[in-house]
Formats: sequence, structure tokens, C-alpha cells
Amino acid sequence: MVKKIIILCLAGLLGLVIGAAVAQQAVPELIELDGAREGGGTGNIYQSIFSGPIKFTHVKHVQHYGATCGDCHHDSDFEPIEAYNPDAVYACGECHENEGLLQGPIAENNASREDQLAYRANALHMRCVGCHQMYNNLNQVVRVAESCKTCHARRPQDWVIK
Amino acid sequence: MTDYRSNNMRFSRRRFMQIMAGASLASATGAIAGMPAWAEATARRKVSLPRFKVGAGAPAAERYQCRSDLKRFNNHHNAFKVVSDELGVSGTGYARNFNMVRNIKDGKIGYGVPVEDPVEARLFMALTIASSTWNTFVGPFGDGRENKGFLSWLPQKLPSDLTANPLPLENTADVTRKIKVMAAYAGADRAGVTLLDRRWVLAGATRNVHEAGPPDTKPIVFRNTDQPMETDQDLVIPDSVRYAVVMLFVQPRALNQLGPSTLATSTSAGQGYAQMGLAAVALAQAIRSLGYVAIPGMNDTALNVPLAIDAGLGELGRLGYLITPEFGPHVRIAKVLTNLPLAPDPPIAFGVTEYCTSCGICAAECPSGAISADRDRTFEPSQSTMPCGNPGALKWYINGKKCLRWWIESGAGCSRCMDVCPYTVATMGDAFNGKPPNPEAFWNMDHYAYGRRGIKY
Repeated sequence: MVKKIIILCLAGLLGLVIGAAVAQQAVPELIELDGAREGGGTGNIYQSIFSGPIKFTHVKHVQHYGATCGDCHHDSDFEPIEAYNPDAVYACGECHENEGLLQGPIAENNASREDQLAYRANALHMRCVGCHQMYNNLNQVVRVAESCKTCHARRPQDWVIK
Repeated sequence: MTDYRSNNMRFSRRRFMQIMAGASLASATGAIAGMPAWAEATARRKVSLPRFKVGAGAPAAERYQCRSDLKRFNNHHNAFKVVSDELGVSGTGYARNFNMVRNIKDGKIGYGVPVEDPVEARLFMALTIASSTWNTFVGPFGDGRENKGFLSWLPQKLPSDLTANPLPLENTADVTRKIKVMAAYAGADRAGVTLLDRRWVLAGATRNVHEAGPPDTKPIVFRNTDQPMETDQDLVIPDSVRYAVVMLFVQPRALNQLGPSTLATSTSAGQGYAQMGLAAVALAQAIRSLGYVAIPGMNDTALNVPLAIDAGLGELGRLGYLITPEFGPHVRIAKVLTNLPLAPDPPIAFGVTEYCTSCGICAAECPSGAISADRDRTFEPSQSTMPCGNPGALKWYINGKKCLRWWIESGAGCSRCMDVCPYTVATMGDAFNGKPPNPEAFWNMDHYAYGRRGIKY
């Protein structure tokens, strides 16, 4: 009985230490991504109405969904960043410099994989949707979102990109 | 050239203008809730409804400017098969049903309507079963069912005195007209005839197209035989089979307006498939009784859209569906391949390609981004579509994988593109007369299966 109490106390202490460490990292809980940034197209693209902002639940993905920092923050070899420094800023745009989404048969077929990854929205789609698809495939059911409609807020629009 | 006049319009152009005025005002003020999806989409993009005349068109191969390297599509590249392999289980048989059952338990009809009522969800599930049971029995969907069960390629329970003695035919035009009447009695809403372009016949029948695992594909070949046959190696269509009777089946407009992705939209598609299965088998039997070969097909054996274009029933739209002058894209298609000599119908044109080039409502409204947003058509599908795309034809390629994975995610068939297509609005009108679609209004409609009344056979 005494042993159990000691173990529980130690576990509680460990929890407090980890919680404090996470709090110190000051990671943003929510990251809002602009889902309607123009760019990368062939000039012939109609934008989806499901291209509004995305509210990416940063902390929730780590704490509830079991994602690690390295699942998203990767190096140029697509490997998790070694010695991840929680105080540093690892913004996607540092490497994926081009704004917007390169999409559609014409654009896709005229761009190499590297060209596509230079566009931030392409990199984000590949990471986010790719990870969701991998999860769904492993679970043999589409349980987490893959479609535009589910992640992107609906965005009213009355224009066509020309 | 024939003046087009819809016989299905349930609301006048004046009523359309009233709806659009309301939608434009709502769009300008940001108060978009409560509008029918098509009205909202049309108002926002300031698209005019198509007004058209039906004239002479070109066969599908010419319309698509088919390259010499275009290969017959092999059904093991069908999105149903590819996605099932990705998931490791049947995409529709297991994964989609998993989410559908979850929705029903939560009292949800689907993504399209804000209803959380377990009783209502069960009732809609029952409606889906009512509409699609014969699809399940005959097909389902026909995929991989070539020469199986009801879709057998040989006569079923017909006297050999009839099947073995071909009726001498002199007046082909008269027989063709009467075959179309038979198609109507079998359940088709429209029928057309074409010479069979073998490029549209599948290269292989994949038996396990809805399952995961190594493809069980049997080549479909043409040979100089009297009757169709199936060997251990292949499925054989007689060389004499040079004609196709292509049939259209209208889907209920009201159900599709309750989409996207609800049990209602699954019901709508299910009804189309159920009726096409019955009609294709019945017409095949009728032709066999005249002593000729008849191969019934739902989604199996050959590609339906190019066959329907060749048979003068419509044109290909951006959304990947056939667009018809009578019902827009609001149809399902079946066919019977035969050696009964018939008079082919001329292909038609009514400006669909040109209209779709500048419209794009379906691409903008698609919940999964599966419809090409490029203004122009291409000969190559996007890399992300492969291996489902079949390069070599000039068209807007659909990303079948994205489309199907959205069905699975939402637990139901979608039909959003079909609902918002201006050709649907121009021909089928609005089942709810411009009011917000809702399930209760659907149950209380006095025009059941809206869209099927007033059709002239």
C-alpha cells in the first residue's frame, strides 16, 4: 500500500514537471493559416469556396493526437530536426518560400516535386493531408479529415483568379 | 437544329430571377444562410443559366481529340479499387459504411443537412434501401460483374426457338425506334444508339474492384464467335457486336438538393443504379428474344460517358459527368452492347465545353477539390490522380481518389457538383421552389421523385 502511494506521488510529480516544461515552451496553441493565399497557379485557376482560414490546433495535435515536433518540423532530408530547440522558431515559410498553392493538372504536370514543395501551401497539404491519409489508411477507415471542406472554413467569393 | 425546351422546368424563368435576386442580395450582404446551394453558387459567381440550341456534334473520340496512345481503360485502375488498396479494406463496402453507420447512430443524415434525429436518420436509411435494393441485387453498380448473375452475357430463361432464330430485319430505322420504346418500357428515361467504338470498352474486367488485394482482372477481348463467352483467360465479345443502345435514368432532384453527402444523395444515386440494372437486363433479354447477342452493362464492360456522347445523348462536362439537354448531368447511364443492326443517332452539341470553360461552379463547390479548376482541358491527368486517370483524351480530368475518399469520410455519396451545375438548374429546376432544402419538406412533397414527371418517351 505504501509502495503504491509512493509510486502515485512520483507519477504526480513527474506530471507536474512535464506540464511545467510544456508551459515554458510557449508553443502557440492555435495557429491560423490563411487558406486563400493566391499564387502558384497557372493563371487559370478557380479557387475553391472551401479555401478559408484553417485553425490548426498545434498543442492538441501534440498532447491529444500523439504527434511529435519532428512529425512536422523536418530538415531538408525530411528527417525530424535533431536536437529540436523549443525556443527556436521553425516556421514552414523559412524553407517553403513561395506563397500559395500550385494546383491543377496543368500546373502539377509542369512542376517537379521540388518546385511544388517550394510553395508553402503545397508543403502544408502534403504534410497535413499526407499524415491524415497515412493515419486513415492504417486504421482502414477515413476517420480524420482529408477533404477541403472539413479543414478549410468556407470562404465566400465572387471572383475568378485571372 | 432543334430549339431546346425543357419539359421538366417546374419553375419559370421569372421565378428563377426572383430567386437569384434574393441570392444576390444575400450574397452582397453576407447573409448566405438558407439559400439553395445552386442559387448561392450561381449568384456569387454571377453565372448566367445556359440557354442553348441542340445542334450537330462530334463523336467522343473527335471531341476529346483522342491521341493515338490512348489505351482502353483497365478497371483495376478504377478509383474504387485504388482507394480500397490504399485502405486495405473495401472502400465502399467497409470504410464508407463504417462512417455511415456512425452518422446514423449519431442521428445524422449526413453532412448536408443539420439534422440530429436518430429516427429520421433511420428513416432515410430505409429510403436508401428502398431505392437501391435492386442495384444491390443486379450489380451492385455493375463493377466487376461482367457476365455475372443478372448481368449474364447469355440469354436467361428464354425459349431457344426465339434466341436461336434471328428475326429477319429489313427496316433498321423502324426496329431502332421500337427498341427505344422497349427501353422506355424497361425503365429508361431516354435511349440512343451508336456504333460501338471499341476504345470505350474496358481492357479488363476486375472482379474485386470494390475490394483490397491483388487485382483479379480478366481481359475483355473481341473474337469471331457467335455468342459471348467467358474462358479461364478472358471474356470474349463477338466481333459482330458493333452497336450499343445507351440509356439514361434521371435521378430525383430533391434528394440531390439535400446534399452534399447525405443518405439522401446516396438514395438518389441508388435509385438511378437500381433502375439502370433492371432496364439493361430487360432490354438485353428483349434483344436476345429477337435472336441477337445482347450484353447488358451498368458501370461494367465499357465506359458509359463516351458511349452516351456517341449515341447523341449529351456532352461531357467539367464535372466528369455526361451533360444532357433534357436533364443536365442529373442522370445515370447504362447500355446494352449488341449485334442487332440498328440506326445510329448522330452526336449532338449544345455548347457544354464552351460553357464549362468559363463556369467552374462545380470545381469551386466540390468539397474535396476533385474537379479540375484549370480553365482549359488537358490531355494528361494531374500526377496526384494517377493511376486512376487515363491519359490521351482532351478533357477535364477528375481526381477519382479525392472524390471517393470524401464519400468515405462523409459516409455517403456526395452529388454536390450535380446539384449546383447550372445545366441541372436550367433543365431540372428547383425541387423546393427556391426555398431552403430540408428533409421534412422532402417527405411532404406531392411530386415524389421530382424530375421524373412529364418526361416524353
